[in-house]
Amino acid sequence: MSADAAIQVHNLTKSYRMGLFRRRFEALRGVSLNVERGEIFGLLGPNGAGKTTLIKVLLGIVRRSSGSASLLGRSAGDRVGRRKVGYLPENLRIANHHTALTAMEYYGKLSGLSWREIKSERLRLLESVGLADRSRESVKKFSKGMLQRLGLAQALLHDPEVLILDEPTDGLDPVGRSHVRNVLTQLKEQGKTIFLNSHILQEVELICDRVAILDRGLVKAIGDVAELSADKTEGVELEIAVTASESAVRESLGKRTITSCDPNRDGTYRVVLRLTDQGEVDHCIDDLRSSGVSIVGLSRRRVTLEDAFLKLFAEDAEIVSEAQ
Amino acid sequence: MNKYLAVIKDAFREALASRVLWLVLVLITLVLMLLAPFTYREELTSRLNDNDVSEKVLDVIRRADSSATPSPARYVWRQLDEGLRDRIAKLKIPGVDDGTPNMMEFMRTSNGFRDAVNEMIKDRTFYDKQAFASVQFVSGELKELQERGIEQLSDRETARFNRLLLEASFPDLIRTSPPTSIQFVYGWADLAGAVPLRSTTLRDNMRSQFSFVLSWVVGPVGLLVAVLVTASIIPQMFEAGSLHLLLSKPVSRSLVFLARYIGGCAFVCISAGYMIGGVWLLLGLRFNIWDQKILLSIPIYLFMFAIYYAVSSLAGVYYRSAIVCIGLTITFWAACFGIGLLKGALENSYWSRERFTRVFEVNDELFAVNEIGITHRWNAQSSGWDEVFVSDGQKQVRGMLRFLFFTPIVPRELRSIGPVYDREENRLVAIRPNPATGTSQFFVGGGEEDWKPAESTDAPMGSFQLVREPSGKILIVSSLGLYRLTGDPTKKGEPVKLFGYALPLPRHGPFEKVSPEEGLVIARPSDAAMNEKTGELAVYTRGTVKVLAPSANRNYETKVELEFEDSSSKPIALGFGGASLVLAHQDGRIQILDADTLHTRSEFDDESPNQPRFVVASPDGRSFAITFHNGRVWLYDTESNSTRLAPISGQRDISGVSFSKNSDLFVIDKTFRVSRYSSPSLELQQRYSPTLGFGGILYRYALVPVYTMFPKPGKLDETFQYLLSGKETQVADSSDLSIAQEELNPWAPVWSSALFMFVVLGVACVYIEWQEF
Repeated sequence: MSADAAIQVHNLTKSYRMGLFRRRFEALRGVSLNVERGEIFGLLGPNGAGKTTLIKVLLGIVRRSSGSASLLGRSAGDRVGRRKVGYLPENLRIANHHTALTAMEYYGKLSGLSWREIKSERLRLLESVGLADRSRESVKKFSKGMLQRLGLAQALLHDPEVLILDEPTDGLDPVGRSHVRNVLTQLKEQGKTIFLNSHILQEVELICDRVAILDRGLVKAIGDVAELSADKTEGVELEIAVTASESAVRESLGKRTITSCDPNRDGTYRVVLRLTDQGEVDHCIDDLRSSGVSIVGLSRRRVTLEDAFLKLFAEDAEIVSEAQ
Repeated sequence: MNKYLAVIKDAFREALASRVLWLVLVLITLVLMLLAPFTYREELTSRLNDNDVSEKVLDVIRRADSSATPSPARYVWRQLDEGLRDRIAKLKIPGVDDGTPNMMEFMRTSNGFRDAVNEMIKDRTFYDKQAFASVQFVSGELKELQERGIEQLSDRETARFNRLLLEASFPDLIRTSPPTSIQFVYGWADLAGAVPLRSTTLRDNMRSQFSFVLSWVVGPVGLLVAVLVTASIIPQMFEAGSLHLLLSKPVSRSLVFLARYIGGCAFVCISAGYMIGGVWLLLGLRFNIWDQKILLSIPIYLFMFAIYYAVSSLAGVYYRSAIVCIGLTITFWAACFGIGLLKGALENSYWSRERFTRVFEVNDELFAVNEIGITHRWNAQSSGWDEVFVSDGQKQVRGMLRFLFFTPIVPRELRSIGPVYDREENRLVAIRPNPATGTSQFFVGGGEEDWKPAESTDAPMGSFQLVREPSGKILIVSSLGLYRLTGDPTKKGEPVKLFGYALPLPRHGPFEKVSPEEGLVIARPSDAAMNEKTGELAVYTRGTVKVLAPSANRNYETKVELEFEDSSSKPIALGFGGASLVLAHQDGRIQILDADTLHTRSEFDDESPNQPRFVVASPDGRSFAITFHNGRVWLYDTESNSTRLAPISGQRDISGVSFSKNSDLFVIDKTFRVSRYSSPSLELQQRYSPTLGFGGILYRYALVPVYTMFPKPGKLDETFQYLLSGKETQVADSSDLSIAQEELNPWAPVWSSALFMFVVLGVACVYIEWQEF
């Protein structure tokens, strides 16, 4: 754990009283994680995992029950600490009486900026998120994606050291997403720390340096994206598209482990095999060719973050069902 | 600070964007445009309006027909056309003729008579010296016009002169009028008839009415609109998606909340400022009322709104719904109104009317008289006041007043006069007005019968005061002169005559007329005071003070007279003792005159502009006590020629003071408590403090403290009224200083409401700080 980390969370718990009978609900159950300065950190987890609660604790919107959390060396929620944080909430709503320009002015003032500082920055930022040409329009005409982009622009207005983004690409079209990704990459290059909470795992995989997976208030896994998505099983998984009958394919592959063999719409077959090593791959190709099977596609399969995420939760489900 | 200004600006921007502010401003502009053509024109009063002529005049003039002696009544009768004379002759006049009158015919005829007189007085030849020879030109204005000569007068002045002539000819039957009237004008059109008011009175009235309009018209409507418009400002702060972003900023939650609260108030401030500023400008331009104090209503109105909005904001923080905010604010409004109404009704229907105003001693017994005129006697055994000498009529009046719970005032027409102790006959004498007939009756109660009252003969018309002469005789001061009670008032009296004709007026009983030979008409505003040592009587009537001294023939004669310029409609309270005459003016000035010359000896205005109510003189003539409507008592010492605030307990709550035979001072406070102070040291001698009943305890120790702490936004108009007038009481009857005035209590609603507002906002701030969103 680095003492200079942007965000430090140690054994953090948060419980609420809910419902008519004020039953206790534990949203966070001893979360510990660190986010280093200058990295993009992704927080993953299913609905109800405690991701938004963790962000709320970091921003002082709710109080922690126990444990510790700090932001840029100051206790989470501290007003001075919040000056250096830019936040984009989930389902951002900006009051309808604003235009993009007045919204920037309002949130800029709340962040402690002077009018001159706001004026010099707001157009540049709106341009960077692609809203410069609609800056004088009422936000009630804005799509959800445009609002997200405006939210991102306001989060950046006071040049924060840490950005906390809750579902930043939610509602964006592919072009918009790409745009936001580029902005975040640029921010990382500028040395900003980004704490990202997203459902879109491909997104996280593409831009995050490290991720934490949260489940029912506990950190399930934490580490580099590469580390988490690394294939921890032995051998090579190979995917081959062939033009032949299923029986011919199975016959030519002999006793090799076929994970799946599914027909495609164009009459070809998609076969997934697990092989021991590259030599085995070469032999396999040779056997297929020698049996007259025509190979139309060949790829070596990589484990994605989504695979790792799903696997993690599937294992968990198995443990639960076994226990039951 | 910039952050919170941004929040205020945002709340305002929100209001602007919703177009509501624009709509409100447009509506205000329309109202101001509608008011803009409204103005007035001042003109001399001549025209007789609906209530200016008593129906009894009709009877007086028709009786005059048969007389051979010239008189105003006969003159007026003969000026009428034959048809109208015929109708008046046959007319059944209510209260005069027996039988059921035809009201339609009566109305038609009396209106026809009034119209005919209005035409008559326009005539330059109306004044006939012979016909009006018996009329006393007591009014300075009338004298002045006569001295100028009728032929020199303009048409309006001629009509005015003729009107004054009629007023002097038929005192109490034709209402006295101010010199000028106000004709209201809208654009180019005159609105109805001219109102008999001076422009200064109009301006004073308009100033005081402004607070009424503010609290009962603009206030409720404006507040309701303001509450509706601003209700969403706080709940919107809590909308999902915007709240978390707001809370993530380096701002204080409480200050953001307060900034939004201020934003809502600023919105109302602009609307109220525009409305009230516009009205102020119109009052200045169209009515020449340039009173900057009117603009004080903007912060007061804003404060009133801020109290309601604090409730709305707390509801907004907790329930986060504009509808709930509106509902709870209106409920709070209704609660404030209800509690105020309940307290007011209780006070008005009991405490205010039962409060003692005068104390007197009869032998060893102490008597106190309340606002209605009901007498009580101190019962040392039970430590309480027992009602004595209460007539059935007074009981009826008391019952009637219970229904008038919205005002604490006892109208002059319902208040008994006296009682005064008649030493010779060992009896109490009082006069009870009969509002149903417009007459008044004596009632007397002898000491031997434990002061049990017996209704007796009619009192002289227009009786307004009973005083006791040094000889012990009772003197009745009435608008038609002075009468001395000479015998048993329970006997049937003789008819009253005017210009030799018997009037359909109360028959007078065993009293002799002792007015000066030149006659004495005492028109309102009026007052009288007897010098118990010298037996001289001071009388004030419509701007003139007279000292009347008893002559050898037992009649009174005018000794000295003083006329005040431009004071004919202003009331004065008189006190007379030793060689001094104390005049307490409506504006709070206390003027000390030498009783022999009526030269001003000194003048004080320590309590100005609060109005005086009573002036009493000690029997030795050394001290005068002046009770003000705000409950304070000042003492004037003739030896040192100085005034001082009486060093006695209960100041600000004193409802009356009296002197005993040996010049001790009786002070009434706490409604029923009487304290006796020695004179001149003012050491407390004795207290007559009645034991409170359950109702009294509940009122004094439960209702009053609760009400004191409860917010009173609806009472802020009293604060405004106080700031506007500088008076701590509200004038109910500007022609009579002795009529009780409603206490304004200007600062109580401010501090109680401010305290409430701070508590409510404080609770909201604490909730916001601790709540997890």
